Amino acid sequence: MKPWIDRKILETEAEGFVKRNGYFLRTHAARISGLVEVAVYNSVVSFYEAQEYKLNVLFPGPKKSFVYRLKSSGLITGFSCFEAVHMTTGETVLILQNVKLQSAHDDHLYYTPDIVVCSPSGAITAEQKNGRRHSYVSKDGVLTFVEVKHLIPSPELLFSFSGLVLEFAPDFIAGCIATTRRAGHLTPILVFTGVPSEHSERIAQSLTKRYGVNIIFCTQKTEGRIASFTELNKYRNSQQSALPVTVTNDPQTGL
Amino acid sequence: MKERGHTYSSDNGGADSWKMNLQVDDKSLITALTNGIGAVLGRRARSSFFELARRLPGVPEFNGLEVSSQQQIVDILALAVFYDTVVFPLKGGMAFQEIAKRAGVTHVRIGRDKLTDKFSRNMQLCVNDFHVLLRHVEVPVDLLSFATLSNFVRGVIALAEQRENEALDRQKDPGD
Repeated sequence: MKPWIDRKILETEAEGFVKRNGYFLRTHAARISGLVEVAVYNSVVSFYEAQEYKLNVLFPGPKKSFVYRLKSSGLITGFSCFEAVHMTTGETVLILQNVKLQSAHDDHLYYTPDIVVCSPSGAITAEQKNGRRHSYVSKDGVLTFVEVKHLIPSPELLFSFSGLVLEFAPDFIAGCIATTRRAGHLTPILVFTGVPSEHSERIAQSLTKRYGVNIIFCTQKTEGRIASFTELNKYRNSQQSALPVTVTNDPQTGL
Repeated sequence: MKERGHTYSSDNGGADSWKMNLQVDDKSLITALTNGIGAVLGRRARSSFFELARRLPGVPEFNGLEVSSQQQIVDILALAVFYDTVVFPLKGGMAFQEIAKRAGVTHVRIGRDKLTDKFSRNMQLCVNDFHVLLRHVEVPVDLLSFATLSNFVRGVIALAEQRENEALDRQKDPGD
């Protein structure tokens, strides 16, 4: 291998870059770090757009803005999300941020992933016993979910993701759903912003082979998107697309 | 004089500890890239880079290379880590704004924080500037995205060989 980069030029270029952009990066560091989650959401939206889904924004904010949801509190209708409608089949999915997901085993248990993809009938707003309304994605309507971790991938985090999938989408662990590399829906994804150790890489490879899950590390992203969609596990959804519905009570949980 | 080289230990307590060649400078470039961008982004970029650099000597293809080639790989790794920590979120924000605007949205709010036009312009300038840097040193952006460290090393070696072959072809057929 013959090197081609002149180190002096590279270092000068790097120093020049920091001189020109350092102030912007310094003053907006927290905001820039927060954009990682948006970038992953963008990746999921782009995945559907690339598969000939037409994108519509639901629940726009003031002046037709897109209000990205950062906290789990609040109703689905209080924040914007993308609705993706397949141009040929008409299949519709909602791509939500930070909405509670119902456990597959116990209707009263929830957890909030960073991104959830569900069928329109899966996004439920219901009244609880105390009279307050809450929004969640039902266990029957969830198609996939994404967890973004601003951490270095550790064995504990990697193995505990299997536990999350077991609780909220157990079919991907039980092997009831055939996975493919071809287009369809993505299986549950865990994204790390930190760098994995060799051992963590090995764990991720083993888990993604055994289960219908995807584990993405920091270095697998480019152009503002997850780079390797073709290499990710996907599946075909056998459920029929349901019409969008608004549920005003919660018969399943009785809350 | 700049301090050069680190000795790294592997995960298993150093039983088969990897050693970066002391002639390889693994500090200058990451320092140049992060000195002045603030502690939040800078610390994250540096810790990620040193974690990956620590493991480079464990990649067999890396060990077989001459010092100058190892240096090249270490430098491109610094660019990759910087890209991932700083440029990727900016590009993600920009790409999301594009998609949202195509869907008829006027602007994006992250919670209560509005992504203003000025912020968008600065994001664009910063990303473009980094791409100019990559062009000047002839590093394709695809090289900065990789699944494993071995893939990354193999990618750099393959690109270097491709460049060598193209240079040879040009020598043989100067008319092309």
